[in-house]
Amino acid sequence: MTGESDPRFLEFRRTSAPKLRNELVEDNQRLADYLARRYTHRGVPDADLRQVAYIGLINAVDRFDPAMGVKFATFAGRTIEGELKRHFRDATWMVRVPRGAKDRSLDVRNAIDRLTNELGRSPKPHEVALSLGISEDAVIEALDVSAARSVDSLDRPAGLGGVEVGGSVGGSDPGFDAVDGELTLEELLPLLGERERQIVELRVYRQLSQSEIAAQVGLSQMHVSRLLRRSLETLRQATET
Amino acid sequence: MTTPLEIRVTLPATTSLLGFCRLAASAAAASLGFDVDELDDVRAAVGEAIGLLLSGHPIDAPTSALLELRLTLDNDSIEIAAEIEHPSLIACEETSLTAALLGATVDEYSFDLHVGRRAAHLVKHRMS
Repeated sequence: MTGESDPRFLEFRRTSAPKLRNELVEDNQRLADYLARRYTHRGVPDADLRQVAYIGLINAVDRFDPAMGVKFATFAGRTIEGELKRHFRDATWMVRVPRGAKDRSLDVRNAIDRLTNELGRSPKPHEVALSLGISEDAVIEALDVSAARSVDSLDRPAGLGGVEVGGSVGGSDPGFDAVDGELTLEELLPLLGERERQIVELRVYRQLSQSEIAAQVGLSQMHVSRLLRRSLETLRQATET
Repeated sequence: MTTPLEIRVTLPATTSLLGFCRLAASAAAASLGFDVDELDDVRAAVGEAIGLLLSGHPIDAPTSALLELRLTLDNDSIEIAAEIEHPSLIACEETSLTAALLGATVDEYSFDLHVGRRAAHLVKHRMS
C-alpha cells in the first residue's frame, strides 16, 4: 500500500503510536527481506542483513512524510538500501582505507581550499603536493579516498532497474514496484540550497553553459563548476542513501 | 605529445573495482596537467558512467564478465571509453540525474546500452 493512499502514515505522523508503527513495519517487512537478499553472499550473515534492513525499514516508517509526494515503497527502499550500504561501508572502511590515507585526504582537501584562495584558481596536483611535501601520486590517491566514502562498490547493488520487485515479494503491496524507480531530478532539487538549485536548473533545464551561468548569477566559472558538480553529486548520493 | 597515448585495461566487471577506474582515469588526466577541479570532474564522471554500465549486473554471481577500459590521452584532453559484454546484462537506461551529472562534468558523453552489451564514452578537455 502506498503512502499516498494509506491513511495510517498520516495518523502515525500525527500520533507516533507504537502499535501503528509496528503494524506499518510488519506490513512492509517483505520489502526489507527482499532488499536484504540482494546483499547475500558478501561475507555478512543473512540474519545480520535482515536485521540491518529492518532497522532501515523502521527508520523509514519513522521518517516518512506523505507530504513529500513520493511513495512509501520508494522512500523505504532508499532508506533500507542506505542502511545496508552503510553497514558494508562501516565494516570495510578500515580495511580498505588505512587511517593515514584518510588523514592525508583531509589534508589534501584543506590544502586545495587554501591554494584555491591564494592562487585564485584551482591548483594543479603538483602544487598541492609541493605545499604538503608529498608526492603527486599521493595527492591523486587522496582525492579518490575522499570519493570512496560516497561513491563506492556498494552504491549500485545488483538488480537496479532489472528485477521485477513485485514478482519477487508477492503482490500485496502495489507500491513495491516503485522501489527500483529513480527519483526524478525535480523531486530531488528541493534538497539543494537556493543558489545551488538555481545553478542546476540553469544548466539542466535551460542548457546554459557554465560561463553563461556564471555571468547570470555573478560568480566565477570555476566556482559555478564546483557548485554544479558538488550539487549533482549530492543529488546522486541522496538517491542512494 | 603528438601521438595520442592509449591505455587499455581489462578488469572484472564488478563494482568493487569502480574505484580503480576512477583512480586510473584521474591519474591519467593528471599527467596531462588537469587541475584538481578537473580531476574531480573526471572522477565523478567515471564513477557515474561506469556505475551505470555495472548497474543491475548480478554481482552475487561469479564475475565472468569483463570491463574493457580505454583511456586515450591527447595534448589537452582525455577520452574514456568503457565497455562490458555479457549475456547477463539486462536493459538499462540513462537517468536524468546521470545526464545532468555527466553534462556538468565532461565535455562530451554518450552511452550505447543494449541487452548483453553496454558502453560509455566520455571526453574531457583541459581548460586550465
